[in-house]
Amino acid sequence: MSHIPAGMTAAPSNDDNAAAAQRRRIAEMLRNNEPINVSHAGTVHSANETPDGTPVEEVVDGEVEVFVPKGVLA
Amino acid sequence: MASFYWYERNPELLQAEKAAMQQFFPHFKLQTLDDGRLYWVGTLNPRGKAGGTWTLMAIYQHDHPNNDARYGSSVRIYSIKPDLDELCRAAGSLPHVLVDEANHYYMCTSDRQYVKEGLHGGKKEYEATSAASSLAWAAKWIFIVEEWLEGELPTREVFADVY
Repeated sequence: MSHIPAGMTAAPSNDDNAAAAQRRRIAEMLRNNEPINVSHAGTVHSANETPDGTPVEEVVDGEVEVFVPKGVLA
Repeated sequence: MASFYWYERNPELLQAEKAAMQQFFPHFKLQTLDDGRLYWVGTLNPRGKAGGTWTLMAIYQHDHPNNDARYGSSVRIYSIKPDLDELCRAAGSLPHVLVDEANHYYMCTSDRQYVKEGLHGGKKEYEATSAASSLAWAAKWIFIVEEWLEGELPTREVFADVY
């Protein structure tokens, strides 16, 4: 594995439990081959969840819609 | 006048690249970007059911093979799916990535010391690091990053070039 030129990337400065939990969620999305979505607030959720993590199926009556967070689509 | 494109100047190298890809990554397809750069596109799933399926592009730079003073060789590995830029934003940071001229991330697959271009180790045959080698390193990159995301590898070690 290579070295990283200075200034390119750095280890997370606030590598706390929340950051680790977020990474685990990303890993799960990768494992499920789901798109990685990021909201304006920086929270991460899968395409079938609202930003607070509630499954879309629980908040949408009738036809199930796919939640698209703000900022993902131009 | 010599062609601008390495694969026209050196068709033997192109054939060797194709042979290596056919042997190690036969499902990857060779295509051409609008600017004439050749690239291979295909999928890798290094961790099987434990990880994701990544769609990668291995793009030969115009000066291929030229690996002096450069990380990751003259074959750049981009991830289309997942989008590496998006993944980096979501994770907050990613280890071992580089930024291209258009500010897009690509994988830092190898240290310069492991990249070959020329005569090495007293051998008489010319050696150049191939797209196949770069993709093999990319498989290792994916393995480490997925393990890190899952919490199996410590951040400090992953970013500190331990692996």
